[in-house]
Amino acid sequence: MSTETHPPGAAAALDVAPVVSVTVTRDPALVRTVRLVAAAVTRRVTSDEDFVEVVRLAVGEGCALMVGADQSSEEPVTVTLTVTDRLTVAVSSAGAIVTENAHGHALGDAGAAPGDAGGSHEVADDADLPAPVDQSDTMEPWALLRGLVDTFEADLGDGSATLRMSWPLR
Amino acid sequence: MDLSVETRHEGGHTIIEVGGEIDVYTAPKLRDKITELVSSGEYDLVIDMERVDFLDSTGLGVLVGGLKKVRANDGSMRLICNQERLLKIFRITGLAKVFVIHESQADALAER
Repeated sequence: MSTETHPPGAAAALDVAPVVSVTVTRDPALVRTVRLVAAAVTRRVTSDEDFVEVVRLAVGEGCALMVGADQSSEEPVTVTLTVTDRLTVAVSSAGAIVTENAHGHALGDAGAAPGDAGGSHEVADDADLPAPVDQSDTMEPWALLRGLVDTFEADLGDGSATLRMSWPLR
Repeated sequence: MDLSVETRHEGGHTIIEVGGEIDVYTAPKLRDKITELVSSGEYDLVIDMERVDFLDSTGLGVLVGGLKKVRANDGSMRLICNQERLLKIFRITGLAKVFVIHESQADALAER
């Protein structure tokens, strides 16, 4: 794992947005470390602990979607947090990413609007629950992430993926 | 692993007390415990999440999978959770309508 940090003072003097970037191997055990970094960065720009929790969860979700897709891949996952008038997080990696759930619901399917805490995703009735799968207990993999963020973009190119999410800073 | 999973029996229920973070790394431990209990014929489960610090979609998936397993055997799986930050996760994903969630062990054990 490697971490780069630009000191806020220096950044302000240069009028450059503070950036923290963390790169980890595709090891599920390291997703918690990335969450901790995201929470620490967010706490530097807000005293709203509920918001810190949202960012921690969303960054963890994005990272887990990359890490969980293909743990045998040697392609690392990079999480970059940028602070301007918004907190922007980009999660990127070469290699595979989870793009749909067991029902074939893809990333781009209509669902709850970003930031809609009420949620309107499919898993609400017993009839809609995914059938038991021996190897994985799956549900809509993007439901939680999309419900946490203010803006969300997924750039799924050939052999690479970047998820971008952001929130306004109060 | 940063997850503790302890089992005890009370009032005909099997209570799984979970502590720590349920995420992409630790969730398999909970899944394996649920699978083990169902395989040994225990279908009335109560998952006590009062000491859970974190829950992500992998953890939710394990809970959903567990619910399906017990229901396939005419059983039940209820949750104990009184932390708003975790309850919010259930609401965002619509799973608050799927699970019976109690505020305390006393509430969970009082209901049959």
